[in-house]
Amino acid sequence: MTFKIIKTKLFIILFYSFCITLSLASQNINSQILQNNSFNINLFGAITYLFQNEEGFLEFMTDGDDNYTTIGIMSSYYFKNSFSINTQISKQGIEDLDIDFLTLRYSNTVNNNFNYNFEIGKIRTNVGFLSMGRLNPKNSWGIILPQALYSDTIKRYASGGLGFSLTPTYVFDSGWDLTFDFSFFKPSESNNETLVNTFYGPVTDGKYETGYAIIMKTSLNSITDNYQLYYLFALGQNDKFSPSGLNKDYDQKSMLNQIGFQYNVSKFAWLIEARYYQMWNNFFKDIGDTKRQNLFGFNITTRYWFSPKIVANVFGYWYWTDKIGDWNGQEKADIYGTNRYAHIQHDLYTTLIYNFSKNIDFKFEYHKMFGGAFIDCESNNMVDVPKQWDVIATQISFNF
Amino acid sequence: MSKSIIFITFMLILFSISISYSQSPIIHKFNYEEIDLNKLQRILMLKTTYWEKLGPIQIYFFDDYLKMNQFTSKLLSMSYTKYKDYVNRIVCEGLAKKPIILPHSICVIQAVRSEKNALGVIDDGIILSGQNLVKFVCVKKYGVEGEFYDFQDN
Repeated sequence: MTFKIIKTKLFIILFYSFCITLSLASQNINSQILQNNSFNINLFGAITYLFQNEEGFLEFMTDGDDNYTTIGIMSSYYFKNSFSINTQISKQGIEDLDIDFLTLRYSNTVNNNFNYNFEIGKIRTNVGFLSMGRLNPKNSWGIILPQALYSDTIKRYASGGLGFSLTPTYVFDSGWDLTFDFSFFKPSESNNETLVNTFYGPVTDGKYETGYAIIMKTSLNSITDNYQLYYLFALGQNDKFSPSGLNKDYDQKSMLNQIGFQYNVSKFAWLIEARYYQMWNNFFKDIGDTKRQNLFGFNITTRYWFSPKIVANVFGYWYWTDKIGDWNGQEKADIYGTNRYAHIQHDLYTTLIYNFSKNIDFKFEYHKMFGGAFIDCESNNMVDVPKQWDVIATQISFNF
Repeated sequence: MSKSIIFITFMLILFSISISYSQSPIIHKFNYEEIDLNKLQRILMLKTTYWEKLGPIQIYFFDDYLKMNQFTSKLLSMSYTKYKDYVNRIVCEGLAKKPIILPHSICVIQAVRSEKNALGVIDDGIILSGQNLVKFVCVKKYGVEGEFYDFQDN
């Protein structure tokens, strides 16, 4: 394990040395260095404090601490042709240092109406509006992203993995564009420590061996993104699930259908996203439920830029349920012998962001939660939370 | 499995570098007829990030909030703060080159003129550079109609 980490670090150091050397060599090291900016590099991070007393929540998010830190570095190198290299490594809270993405990207403009991009390597996928930039806290719209869209099971899709993506775009004469994004990859594996950037995980603790995933996303955008609409289909195959404490593996297949709409005008933005997630796993059958599980969630956010210094998610709401049709969680509660609020969640939230400088942000976030549950990683027991509870989160984030 | 994929990726990167450095310079001039408001908007929204066969586009802004806010509000229907937020998200995903903010319009003009493939936003318009040509799009009112001036830049 130690050897693996050393090898990863060595690889990263060598890679960055290589990129920096290449960047300097290509720029003749003269006064033109500014104008010939082929190498972009961003150092980012955040310190997040969670002011609340819900121990199950803290245990789940941070291993019991009331704070966690994020640190990462992202870089891109643009060649003089149509190729570019993009990479990002980060350490997100209690997660290990990892490569978020490392891709070789090729962009080609065929004509005024058609262009495409191709990426290969460890790709990242953006399953929704809030998914883009989520790993860089300064670019993230909120501190705790909506579980309704980014639960742990979805995160494996959202994180991407080794594979490739092809993204052709057709531009209409009116300026609107139709984009089709096809990705094929082996999703990054999840473990008990990959939960910090999500909120709640699956209702069972364990380890997933990932198979492969296909994502197809079709989006229609106006020229300045005043209107954006997408539909996403994702399929995960050949997964293997090993519940903690059981010497048995279960095959798993999963499917995600998601749709989103965003309206942007002037200082205002409003978005809605909804997902329908299904998985097939005999584990659920063995504990008295059905093999097929179907989860549903949606998220609404209203954002307003009050001034150059202040922006806020004025109003946000998310909802999810463990089963379509079981809107109050009672049906699931009868099967599992739990509180019904363990199977649904309502969350009303607001986020205030103060741009202290162009590189540093302060975020304040308040959530009023109704329901929810956590898994105790040691006992593998479900820990219920009160029917109503609050989360206050603050964050200092930077990006240089 | 994963090691071999990382190795293949790395080899592809090296391969692309060799392609990049083996290419002879492309002599290219703008097709002025193709530059319209839609195209400018797509470039500024980082949807078009490569300029035909010239490579990645570098965008320059000058550091004046009021002017830039006026510019983005009229041309892109969004505030400058919101626009920067949008741009940062795109750049940090590695989808486009990072725009450079310079202290004065003159610096923007100099930067654009020294490059073969750049776009700069200045007080009263947009300046674009090609292989040996610089084009100035005067968009005083940031409307659909623009005045176009071309001048040789040698």
